Amino acid sequence: MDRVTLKSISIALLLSSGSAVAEVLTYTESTNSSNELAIGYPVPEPVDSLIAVDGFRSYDSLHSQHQSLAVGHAEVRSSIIGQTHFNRDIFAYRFGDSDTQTVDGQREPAFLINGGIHAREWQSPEVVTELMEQMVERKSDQGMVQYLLENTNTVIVPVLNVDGFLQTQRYPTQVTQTPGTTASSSPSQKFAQPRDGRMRRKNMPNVDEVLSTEGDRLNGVDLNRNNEVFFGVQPDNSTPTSLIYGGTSAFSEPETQALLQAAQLGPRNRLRFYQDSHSFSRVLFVPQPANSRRNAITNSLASKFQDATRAQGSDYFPVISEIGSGIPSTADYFAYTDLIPTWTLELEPPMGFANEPDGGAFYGGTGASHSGFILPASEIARVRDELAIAQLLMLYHQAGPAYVTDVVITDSEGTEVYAASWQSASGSRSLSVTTDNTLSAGQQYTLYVSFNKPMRVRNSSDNVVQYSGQSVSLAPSISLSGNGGSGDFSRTLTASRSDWLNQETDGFTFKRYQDDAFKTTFTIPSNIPVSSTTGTTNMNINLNAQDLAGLSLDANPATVVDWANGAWTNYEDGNGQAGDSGGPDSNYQIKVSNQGLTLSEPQSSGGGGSLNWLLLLLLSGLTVSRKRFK
Amino acid sequence: MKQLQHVLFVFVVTFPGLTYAVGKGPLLISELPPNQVYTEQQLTDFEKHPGTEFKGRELSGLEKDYQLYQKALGIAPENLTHEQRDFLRNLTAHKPRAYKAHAEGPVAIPVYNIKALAEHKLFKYKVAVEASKMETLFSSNIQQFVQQSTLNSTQVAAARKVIQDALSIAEVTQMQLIDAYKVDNSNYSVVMLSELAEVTGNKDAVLAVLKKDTSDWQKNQLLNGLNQYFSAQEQQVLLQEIIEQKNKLSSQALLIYAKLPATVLDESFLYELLSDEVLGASSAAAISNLPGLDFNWLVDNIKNHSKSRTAVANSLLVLRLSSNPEAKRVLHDIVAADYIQFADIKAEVATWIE
Repeated sequence: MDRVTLKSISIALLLSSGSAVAEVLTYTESTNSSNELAIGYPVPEPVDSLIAVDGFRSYDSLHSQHQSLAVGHAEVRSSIIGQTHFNRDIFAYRFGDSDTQTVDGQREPAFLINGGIHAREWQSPEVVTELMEQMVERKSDQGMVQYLLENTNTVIVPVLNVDGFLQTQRYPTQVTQTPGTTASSSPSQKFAQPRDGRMRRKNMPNVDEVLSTEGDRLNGVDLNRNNEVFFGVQPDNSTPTSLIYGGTSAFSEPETQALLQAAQLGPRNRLRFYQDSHSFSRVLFVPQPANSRRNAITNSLASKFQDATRAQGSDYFPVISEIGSGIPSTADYFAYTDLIPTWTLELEPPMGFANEPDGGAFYGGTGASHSGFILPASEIARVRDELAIAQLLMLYHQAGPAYVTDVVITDSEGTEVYAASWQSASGSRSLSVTTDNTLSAGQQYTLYVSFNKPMRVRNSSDNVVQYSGQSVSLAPSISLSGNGGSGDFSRTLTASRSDWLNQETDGFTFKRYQDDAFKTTFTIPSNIPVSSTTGTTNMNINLNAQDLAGLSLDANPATVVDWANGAWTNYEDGNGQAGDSGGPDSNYQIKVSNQGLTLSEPQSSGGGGSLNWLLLLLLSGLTVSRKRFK
Repeated sequence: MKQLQHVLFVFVVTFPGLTYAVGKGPLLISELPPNQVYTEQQLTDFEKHPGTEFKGRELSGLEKDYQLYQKALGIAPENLTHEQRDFLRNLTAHKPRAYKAHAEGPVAIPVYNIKALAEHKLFKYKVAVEASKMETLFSSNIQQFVQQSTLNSTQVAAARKVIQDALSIAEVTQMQLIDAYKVDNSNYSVVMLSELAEVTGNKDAVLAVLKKDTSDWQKNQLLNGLNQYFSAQEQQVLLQEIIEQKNKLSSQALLIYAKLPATVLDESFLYELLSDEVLGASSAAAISNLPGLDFNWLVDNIKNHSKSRTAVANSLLVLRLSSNPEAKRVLHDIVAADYIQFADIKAEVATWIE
């Protein structure tokens, strides 16, 4: 039985039973009438396809695709986290390996991404599904995605409000009229506040699935007002017929309870990032609890998200709340309760930007009321791709700053002269130095350094480039410093972005992920001051490199970076101070001899000291002579 | 004074506190005078009778914008007078006087998007003007019509209007259009072929769209409505061809194929695709919608291809997605018999039958 026949029978039954019947209105491409409203472009209808199309997949197809990812890939596991009012299962999907440890045996961080909380926001399930698909397609990329799967746990709820979403897809072009309007009202009045069918926002308690039923179309709870923090703060939150009705109590709804269950899969105490995906406006709404460090990190992260999208032509703007002020949204809830970076992502089209049309007008449409929720089918593929790039960057950032894993120095013949690596125990690391020979000033060496995460991305010409919109120092920063007994010295070594390794080069290659290591050749400066008695000095190698999201190194890998109370813990800078900025890692000490070069004078920093060096030579010569005559 | 207090109260409780957008962001309600911001309830009350109390008093910003919007909405764009054109042009610079807050945050949304409506009306006028010129070409020079139609968005809209308004299009003209658009490489050629298909029902136009080597939403929509153009037998041939190409349409084609009448449907074609890396999952979804499942085949496939992740996963997926109550029992049996060799798949299926 087709949809039209079913609807006609439903209307007839309702009329015969005496129930009031709502007027059904239709969105069209170009026809206006008393019950039709033109939006200026074709109104998309759901498409049955597991594979992403230029359009919006039906819920059944999205769900089938999600389930296929879970059964087909070891890196994806599905969980039923609750049931809706219509007893439909709500699913969450975990992306990661089967353990809860990073590659080096530490506790994995977790992230939670929510989609489809408001039924009419079709962009959201598609964008979240794209993230899921990319995490599977790229699972062996030896890069960012493989790193995330091996070292983090990402929990994704692609469609939270299943009942509501199905209702919008059941009536993809139809809605019911603004409350209080009648058949004789003008079309603009009738379409001003559509509440059911394609424009349903809330969930569906005490709502049948018949569009024309008058009495239930305002029912439902706004799942993004059903949360504990700021519950009931807006007057309309306690009005059952309101678009933003928050329910009888916080977490009264099965869907919000399901979201809490999804958080437990992180598990909850490992969460470091939450995003709730909505449309529309092309902004991030960023809550601000009273925690300055958490807010600074979050706002910086939001700025990176904006940069990543702006570089692709779509500027997602962070709108920062006043500290301590908010609404009972899921983003506010996790921000205030868990003290992690969170936001409400409002996908395009834009709204309120100078010189950019609002809503559907952005795509050449009429700008009709609510047309912003109807993204043209031709645009969704681009939106999916743009947002995947930005979202992956957020997960990579919150996985934590990079730390050095290995330092190796070889001489010009390839012989190892220094080797150190960080050994992991639970909750800490210790530096193991396995080779520690003396280097010689004036000689050339190769320095190899590896990190725990991929540090760079490359373009199609295989050149190291910035990750979309980011602006980090692409070359590693290396210096030698010490005190030869005659004053401090510091020498900067030259390194470039082409030193990063994505394949084997001269016997060196990346450790686990492409561009997680670099190698560079350097010459110990010939004017390094040394001890006048030993002819040697100890030097520190100071290493720094921003990861591709712009985080500096954890300067002290001995303590494991983690997250607590809204900020990084054990994230030391070059002075050993824990904070949120990191810095150069100077844990690697080498010995250098300075034979054949002048010794430095006391208190000078480099060069000089020829008299002492001459004495040393003479003494060496006398020693040899004595030995000959023994 | 009371009204001012009420308006201030509305402003403060709608979004308590101030916010800011980083740099040049969207307009926020905090940047607006309070008397320009309206709540959901105020707008609901207004929409019930927006024009009944206008006379004899100064109008609010909401009422003024409503009047302008209604006037613009009522203008038929195909035949604008000079006055109407000037009126609409002025409206393209209109600054809204009535806003509501975005539901999730303090972004200001105009209640009536007058500027956009005016721009769209002017665009439709331009389209109508171009359409009248192109109508002449349509009658006299199809090749030039085709060339003009793909120049820009105005021309393609005008060309669509010509086709929509045509009382009938001779078959020879239809074929000329199809042949010309088939070899045209612009994105607009798909738009025109789709329009032709919708208006005339011409099967060749549908085929031309589906065979275009571009990524277009029109293809998905045409596939959705394939039964309007082709018989079941014809659909079977066409869908099978698309499926075998393993392109972006293939998954959709599989799901539509599974809904064909049993007289033309070849179920074995679907089952054999379960082992396909690209289409196996789509085939599973398609099979799960069939009125009956071949449970023995699925179980044997799992046993006989136990080392193939794809074959095993997709065979299990059929049972997972099927609403047939027998499917869950078969899953239980498969787990109990330990037919699944892959530990992660076994663990996933175990959660299905819990």
